[in-house]
Amino acid sequence: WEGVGIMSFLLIGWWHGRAEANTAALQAVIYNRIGDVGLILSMAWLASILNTWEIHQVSYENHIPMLPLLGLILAATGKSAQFGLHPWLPAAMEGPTPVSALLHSSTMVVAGIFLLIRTHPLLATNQTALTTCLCLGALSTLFAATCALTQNDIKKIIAFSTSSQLGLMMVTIGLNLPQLAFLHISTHAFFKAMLFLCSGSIIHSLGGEQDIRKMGGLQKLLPTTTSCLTIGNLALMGTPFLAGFYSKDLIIESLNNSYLNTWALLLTLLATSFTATYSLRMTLLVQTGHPRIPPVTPINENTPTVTNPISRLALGSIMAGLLITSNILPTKTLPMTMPTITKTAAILVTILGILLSLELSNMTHNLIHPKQNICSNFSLTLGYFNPLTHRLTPAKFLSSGQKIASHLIDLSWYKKMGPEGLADLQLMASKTSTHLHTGLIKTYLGTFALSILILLLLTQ
Amino acid sequence: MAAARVRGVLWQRAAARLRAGARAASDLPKELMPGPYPRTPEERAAAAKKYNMRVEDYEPYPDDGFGYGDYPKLPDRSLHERDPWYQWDQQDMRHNWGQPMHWDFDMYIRNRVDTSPTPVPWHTMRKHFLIFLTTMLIMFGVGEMYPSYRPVGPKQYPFNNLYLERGGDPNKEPPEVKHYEI
Repeated sequence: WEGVGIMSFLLIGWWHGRAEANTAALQAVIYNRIGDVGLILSMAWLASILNTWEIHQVSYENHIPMLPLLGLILAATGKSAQFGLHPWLPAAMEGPTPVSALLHSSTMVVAGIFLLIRTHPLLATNQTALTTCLCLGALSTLFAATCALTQNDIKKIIAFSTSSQLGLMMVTIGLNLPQLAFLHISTHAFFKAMLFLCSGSIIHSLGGEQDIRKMGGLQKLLPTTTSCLTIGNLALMGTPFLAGFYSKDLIIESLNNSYLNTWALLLTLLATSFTATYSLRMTLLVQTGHPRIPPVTPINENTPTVTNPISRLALGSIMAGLLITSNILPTKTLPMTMPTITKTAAILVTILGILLSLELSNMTHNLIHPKQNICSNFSLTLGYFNPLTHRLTPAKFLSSGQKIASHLIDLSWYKKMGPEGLADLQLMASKTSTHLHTGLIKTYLGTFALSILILLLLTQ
Repeated sequence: MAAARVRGVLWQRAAARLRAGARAASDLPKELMPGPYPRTPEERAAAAKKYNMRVEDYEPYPDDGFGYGDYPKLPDRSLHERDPWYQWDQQDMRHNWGQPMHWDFDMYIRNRVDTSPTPVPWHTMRKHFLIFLTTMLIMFGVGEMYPSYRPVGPKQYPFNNLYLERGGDPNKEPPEVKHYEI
């Protein structure tokens, strides 16, 4: 857990001379650390109450209270970029594309989900924890899919797609189906890594251009890469009998057949259609249409080092779903019979998203959209989350830390506890005593004698 | 910009100072180090000159016992707001030689706090984000109250729906029971 966190930090900051890369690496490590607080909390609870960290021993407990489960969920939120601790994943695109392909799509970001899968006996008994996972996952998947709709950087689109699929995995955990979540992890790894590698190949061929508004018509120029990009997008959308279908369709079916929060169901379906929308938008802008690339670009696909991995992953994206589900049977029987509308819900919603994207693309070519509205601004600036959290909180912490560490400590210890404090006390004492002292000697002697007399009389 | 001319003058003056005062090569001479809070206009002018600022721009921190001395109070602007395309002396810090640094400069570098103006006003951002968040939370609450599930119906038994077991009269004819499919 720690290892992948630190590796992520180091690899995002690969080009360490670049300030944005350093900032992104810092974001990654800080958000992961906030999640680690949850992990340490649950480990401490397990060690003190159950006296063990063995998952087998812990699974025998009938009822685990909310605190350690919330700790585990917080750890998964941090590592797997759920809503609330999500900004680091799009920022992690500052790193090289192979890093994104390996760490931030397939392996590292699923570590949080994997933790919840391994500790699923703990979660299974606590319905509140499962509902928390469900709602958090649904919110994450919709939020990330909304943000992906207006992004213009190809890597950011795929990063938000990853975030959205991670939300879907969290939803599956919330449905108490950890094996299905693991199946989605496995199939998702194939097509997501392929998408990243294709995007890296495209970026490299165009000499560092990452903006999809400056790409176009690459289908004829980079046939293998763009074909694999299409296969990856189709698998992501859940096209029947590609890899993504086996896991994603099962998840949507289980959602429709379960007793669960209606809003979570609606959000997940909406996010599925948005997935189709932004995938098709990316495909249309990158591969089709007139080329918007500089005319003299040495585009080629002559390096087998680049095309071979992509082709292998394409084969995997097509076959992996079938192979895994044929050989590894699920431990829980999933619903087999359902109305036709429920069975075809995922496909229908995806087709809706595709139609929406085609219509929007048509409108873009024919009409002039107004440049800004509330929804597009919200989506473009990633929900305003980044400025709101990354400006106030660090500024307050850092400036108050500086003031406490330097000014306040100097002021208190060296001045108030030392000479100035002492001088103030003495001044106060002398002023009070001067005020009290009125100089009436005869009255003092008289009261002194009177009190001695009274004492002597009392002792009689 | 005037930075080039200032840079040339500063270099010669600082070199003269250093030659005169810093024999041990350990630190700046006392005239160039930060000093106590300036009380007279002459002290203010001397402090402004020391920090390479104009007298009208120079504003020290208030003398409230927190130990700032005569260090100038610069506007709280992070390095993100400085021109990224100008050729600064230190390009990563976006800083020229001799330029006065903010007291909290380590907070305002490009890896930390960003104070640059946002395209959307702050109150609008906050309002829209809170609207989004509260709507989601309220709708999740509504979703908990009205969950979604497969339609269920009451249990049906074959033949005459357990007429005898449920205490029906054995002499009477049991009523016709029609079973339904969902």
